Amino acid sequence: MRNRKKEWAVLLVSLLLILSGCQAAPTENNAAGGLSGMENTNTGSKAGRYVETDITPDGEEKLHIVQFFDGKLSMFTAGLKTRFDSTDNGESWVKAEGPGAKVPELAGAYDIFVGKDGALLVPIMDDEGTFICLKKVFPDGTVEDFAVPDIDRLVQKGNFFAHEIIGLSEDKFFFSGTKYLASQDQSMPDNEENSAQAEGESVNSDDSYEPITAVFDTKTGEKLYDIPQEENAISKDASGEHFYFINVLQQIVKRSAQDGKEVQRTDMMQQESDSVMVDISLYSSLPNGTLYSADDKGIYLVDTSTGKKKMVLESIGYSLGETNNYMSGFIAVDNGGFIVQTEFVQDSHSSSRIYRYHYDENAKTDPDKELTIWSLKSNTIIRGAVNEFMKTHPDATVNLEVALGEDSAQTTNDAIQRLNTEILAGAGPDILILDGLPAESYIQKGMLADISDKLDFSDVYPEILTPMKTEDSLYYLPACYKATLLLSDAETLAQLDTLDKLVTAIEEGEDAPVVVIDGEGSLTALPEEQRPVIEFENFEEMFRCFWNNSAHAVVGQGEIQEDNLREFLSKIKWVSDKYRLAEEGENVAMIIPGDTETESNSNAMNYAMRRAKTGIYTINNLLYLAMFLEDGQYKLLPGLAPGSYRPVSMAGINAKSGAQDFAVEFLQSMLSTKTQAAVDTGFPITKSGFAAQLEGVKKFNVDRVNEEDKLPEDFEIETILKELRTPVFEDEYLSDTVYAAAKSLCKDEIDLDGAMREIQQEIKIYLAERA
Amino acid sequence: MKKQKIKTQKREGLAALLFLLPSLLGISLFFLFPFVDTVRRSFFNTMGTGFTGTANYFSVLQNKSFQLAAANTAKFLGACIPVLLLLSLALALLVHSIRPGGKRLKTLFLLPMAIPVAGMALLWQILFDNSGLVNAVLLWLGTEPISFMESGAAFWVLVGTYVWKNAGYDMVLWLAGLDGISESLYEAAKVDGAGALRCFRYITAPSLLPTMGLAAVISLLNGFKMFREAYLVAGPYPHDSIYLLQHLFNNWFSNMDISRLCAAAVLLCGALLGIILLLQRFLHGEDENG
Repeated sequence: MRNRKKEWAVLLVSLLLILSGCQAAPTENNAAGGLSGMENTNTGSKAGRYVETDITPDGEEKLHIVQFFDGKLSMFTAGLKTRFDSTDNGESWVKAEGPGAKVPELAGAYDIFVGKDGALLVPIMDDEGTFICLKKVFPDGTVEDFAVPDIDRLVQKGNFFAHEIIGLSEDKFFFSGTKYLASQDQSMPDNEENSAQAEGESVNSDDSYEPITAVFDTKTGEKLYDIPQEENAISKDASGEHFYFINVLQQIVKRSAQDGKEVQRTDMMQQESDSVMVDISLYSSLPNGTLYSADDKGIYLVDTSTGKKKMVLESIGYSLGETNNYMSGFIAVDNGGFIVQTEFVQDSHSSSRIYRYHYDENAKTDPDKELTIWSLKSNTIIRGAVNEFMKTHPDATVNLEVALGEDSAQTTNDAIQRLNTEILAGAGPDILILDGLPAESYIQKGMLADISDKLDFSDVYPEILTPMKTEDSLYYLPACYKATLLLSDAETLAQLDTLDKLVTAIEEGEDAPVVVIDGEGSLTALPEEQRPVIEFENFEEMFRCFWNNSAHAVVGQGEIQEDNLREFLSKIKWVSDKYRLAEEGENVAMIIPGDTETESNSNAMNYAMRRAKTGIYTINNLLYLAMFLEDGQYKLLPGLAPGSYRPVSMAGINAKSGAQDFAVEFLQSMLSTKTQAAVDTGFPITKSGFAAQLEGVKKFNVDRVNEEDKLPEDFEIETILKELRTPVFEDEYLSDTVYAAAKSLCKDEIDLDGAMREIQQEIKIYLAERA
Repeated sequence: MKKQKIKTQKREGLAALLFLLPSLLGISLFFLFPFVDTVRRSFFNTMGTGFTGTANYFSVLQNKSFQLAAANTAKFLGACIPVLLLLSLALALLVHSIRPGGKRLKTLFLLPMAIPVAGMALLWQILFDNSGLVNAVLLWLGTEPISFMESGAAFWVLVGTYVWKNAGYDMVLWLAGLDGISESLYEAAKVDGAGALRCFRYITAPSLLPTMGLAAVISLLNGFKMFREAYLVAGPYPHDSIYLLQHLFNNWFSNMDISRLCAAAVLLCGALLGIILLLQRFLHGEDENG
């Protein structure tokens, strides 16, 4: 009996230990990254890693890459004039004359795929993007038209666009296209939404709209069977008896290659990735049926039976993950490597780059070169800087932790508290991206290291750098800055040099023009005498514009400056009343390039469209500013706190980090010309970065034939720089509180004193806590 | 014989220590050591690199948000604990008197404790939102709706929720106390001609004093848990009247104001300890007098 009790006791204790062990064990993801529950992107691994090689032929801008069924790879230049062949999975390439050198009709070739006996099937489109025909290019270089009766019939009707053409096997290819209504240009597939809308409205209603989604014979061109419109082909399976398709519900549909009948349907599950953009994924399979997918986050191994995706290559640190790169071709090759084609887009100009990724077991990562960067939200500028950093430190490991990823359930407050706990425990990240964090408090508490004498700031504009210093010490480095500008002609700008004068001019100026609800009226230029001083789209846009340059004066030195708050609210009310901005449903929103998070720059667009005498623009990038500006001038928007500017993507080094020097090197990479030239949510802080962006504007102009389409190139950034005085950290709580009260005031729900009281009541405790 | 007794006592003492050791270790690891660290941090700056003396304590005591939060917390506890103790006692007496059916009722009264905090917050919103059920009833009755969450009414909503949630639990504590009173005392009193009120005054109330001490301490500690409901409904900056010490602690932690947070925590701990000791002394005194 006694022994039995002992046995039970031992058993229970063992169970308890096992259970507690199970609970305490970190997940694979957490173990790698430190902060549990956060997205953890890891570059490289201790034992071997993928090595990237740029295999783009010199001087070639437009390329197509194809893989033959025997594994051979070929790259074709535009119009198939030159070809580069590889028989060793892309390691070496042999240049040869392409079939297009002698056949000019191949000039419009795109989405090339391989058919029977190594013949290439080449879709041809015209300059408008309309599908014309398929050509067959035989291995000996001869070219002939390839008739596909079901497609050709639709092509004959005109306005036919191909969406997807994929060679599934030697004898079968998938084609998806639509013949659109000829009279309705807006139904063309500019984007997914239009396409879906066009499909939705057309079926059964008009025979001039005809979609086709089917599998065809590569030899005869005969249609073999239809596929549901919402599906896109991926690849064949190992046996070749089935094809995989993916539908809009992110399901993998397995169909018989013989008759297209559905065999299996599997929900695609997101694994080790926060990507929900499966619709932009590219797929490629090996002859053994192993399926891979790729998107801007990385390359994944797809389990077709369970739908699970496992990341095999994280894009960060590779060209694949660069901000301005989007993937246009993806091939998995036999040796476990990949060939990726990207289109690098800058200043409306794109060029193809082709990269080879092969796994090098001997490529070492230095365990001493590990850097953890923490950011509240995903930040493309920082991702770009990491890529740049990795190029000069290929043996380093960079963990970019994004607290509020796409699938994160935690709140901002939770994320900040987790971070604070880590820092207090001495296990915090090496670099903190301070956007959205209590940056001022971190600086005051000594949590950030002084970087004033650790970096080479010679290329940084001193006008931006100097005001960010605290008693000669610098604790953070922004990747760029934002400032709110007023755009107009020189004479008008000279008159509107204070907020008072600007609001008076608005008061005395024209009323807001009546906006036609269908949106067309909002694009029409107005005669000069009918133009208001500014045309805002809505109340929020107006408030945010003015708040940016007044916030620091309204809440300064840790308390509400009552006179300034009263003046600010009065001005907002005047403008709102003048343009009837607080009335619901009065204005039609437009999609304008800019920072969608906090500012809309539609009034800058209205100025450019000659609908208003001035425009307000919170700078995002130089090209947009140039587009809005035409022949106008700019200066900082007058406000109660003139000279305010907002540092963006601010990086600070954790004072307790054990990798201080390495972290400094990362910050230095943020100042590289390439990173600075790519910033598009503010202006670059370096001279070379600004010069590179200016170069982009010039390049943009080169392609323009008409003089009036060209953009101004003579930007005097000094006009802005000399006015910058105060870096302002965005405080969402304050701005939202003032916004809510200002809106109630403008809607006449409360009076000015009521609004003042409401703000003071709401902010009182907030400010007192910080006192 | 004496030697044997001492040996047995030693062995029993050792066994007791061994039994207590796991919980002692747990308490030390999760409460005592962190508390010592909290006290240490309250005398240093945030990064723990510079000794600041009592500066953090002065800063906390002078801070207006701390003054407001401390006053609100004291007001909240002062208002709800007496109400809770009295109400739960009344319920316990009622349930005790209708035995044996009272046992089933006892379980019913515990149900509010089983409701998750998120559910409670949702209930708050359904009932007390500007367009919630209570305001709908008020409108139907022809009276003005009340902005419960943006006015002083928020305080009474919080008090009401606390009392509703904890009354069942405290009732169970009182019932345990009532069960411990011997029936013979009541019978003897009744023989002597004592009525129900006299029985309560001279038998029930004095016998329940130790239970009251326990119920008061537990209610006091449960009072601090109401922050979760208030936070979920009104966020980190609620109406002034329900801005409690935990709001301040939470916000200071987010803002990395660790030194002041630690100082405030030590002050709160001291105050709570004082209250509990006073309560014990009072009850002990009453007990002795009784």
